[in-house]
Amino acid sequence: MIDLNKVTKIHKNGTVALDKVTFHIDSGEFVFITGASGAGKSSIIKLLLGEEAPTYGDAVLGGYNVKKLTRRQIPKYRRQLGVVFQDFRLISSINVYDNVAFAMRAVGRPRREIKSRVEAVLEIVNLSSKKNSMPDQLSGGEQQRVALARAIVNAPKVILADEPTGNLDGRLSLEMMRMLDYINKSGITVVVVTHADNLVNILGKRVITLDHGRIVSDEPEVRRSEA
Amino acid sequence: MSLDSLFFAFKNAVKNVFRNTILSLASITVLTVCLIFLGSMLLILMNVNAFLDSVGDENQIVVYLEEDSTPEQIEAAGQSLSDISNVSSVKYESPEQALENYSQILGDSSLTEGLDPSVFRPSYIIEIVDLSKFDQTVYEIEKVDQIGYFANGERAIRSPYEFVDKLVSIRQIMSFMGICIVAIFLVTSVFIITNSVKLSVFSRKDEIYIMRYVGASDFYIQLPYFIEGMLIGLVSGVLGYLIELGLYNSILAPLMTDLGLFDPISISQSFGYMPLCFILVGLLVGIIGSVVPVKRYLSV
Repeated sequence: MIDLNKVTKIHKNGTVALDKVTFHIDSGEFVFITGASGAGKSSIIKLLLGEEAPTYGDAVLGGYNVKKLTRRQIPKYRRQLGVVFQDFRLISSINVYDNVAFAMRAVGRPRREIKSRVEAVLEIVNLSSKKNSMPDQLSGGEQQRVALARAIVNAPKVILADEPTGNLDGRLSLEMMRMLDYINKSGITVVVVTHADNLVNILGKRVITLDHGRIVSDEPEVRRSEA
Repeated sequence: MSLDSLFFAFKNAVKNVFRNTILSLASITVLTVCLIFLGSMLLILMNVNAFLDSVGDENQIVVYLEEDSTPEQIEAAGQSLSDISNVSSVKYESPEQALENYSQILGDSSLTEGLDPSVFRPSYIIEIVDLSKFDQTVYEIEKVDQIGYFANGERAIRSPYEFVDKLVSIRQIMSFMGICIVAIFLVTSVFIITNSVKLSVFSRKDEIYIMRYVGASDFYIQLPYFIEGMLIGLVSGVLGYLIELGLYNSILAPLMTDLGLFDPISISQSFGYMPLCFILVGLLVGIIGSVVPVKRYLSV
């Protein structure tokens, strides 16, 4: 599903954000990408979002080589992805239902399909009862679940979560991770960028650790469980 | 794009217009004023043109041939004059006809009694098509050999040069001023609409950001802002036309009538296409005004 082959990213100011990073993520896998600040986690997210292209090497997701994406291909490429941000990025002027429906409207889905799909997704994230609430009436955990609902509503192949628990307390963070795990079990590939080591350890999934733009470890799920 | 998406884009565009009410109003006002200027200039120019056409009789140039011209020379002169491109008609007036006309002008035939027609020269009365080419036409006429000379040595040609020259100058100055004023207003309108749409883009930057990451196409993201520009243009076009209609019928037309120069033309009869003109120019300015911020700030 995701292939990074000797990916190097050098910023305009000469900073090397990623240095010959190579990894492969299979379809349906759940992978954590961890590392300290400046390790290169955000650069990987930006690459996978198609926001930036590698300076050298190839980053391929769902058959698309990010480096060769044309402007016209970018929307198509991004429709394979569901993105969850640390700061939720909900639209404050519309209610929960419309925040989720917004993602389907933006890709031109018909109204009838939007209604049934949004209601089903809100059921998954346990927010059916709050579909008419405004974002500022929700707790942080609920807001992040709305963001998650929005990320999965278009049935993406991959969920990219950038520090999804960054603004949540311990209990809510675990709840969020369990929800991502539940979604992963439906066959969706999940990539979570985080520095929350405690959560990573609890779930025991595959962990790719970065340091100064290089992969320092890539621990598969089974080996970690054994450990 | 589905009908639902189009409806959603339209709804967002309307919301954008109302979200930045003051700037939207400013855009509509400036564009409406611009369109009124444009329409007024067009109406005045059309009236001046109609006036110039109506004073066609004044477009006459009279050329006098030598007193001793033979019929062949007179015939040849007539042919040469007819061959000039801007000449619409050439009418010969013999010395006898000239005397008769002179008597009629004086209104008393006794005054011309005993007067020999040979005091009048054979002449041609020429009418021209395009007044703006008046000088050039007179220059062409002067080339005809058979035309005689006045006592002061000049070619025997009488033309309402000064009158026509003034009319043409007025028309040219008005056209130039009109184009300048309209251009300034059009540029200002584009600038204000650009700012209005830019503000809309900024106020919805979160939504745009999310749209980008769920894979909305450029067109889908940009459409509400194009529609916003078009809505401002459309409202300005309709408003501008209605105000223009009122202004022309209640102020401009009566003013022209009062000045006694000529009868103003009817806006509905002569400018059936004017409402369409207003709306099209409004829409065009609205689209141009929204293209710049949409392209610059919504690039994915």
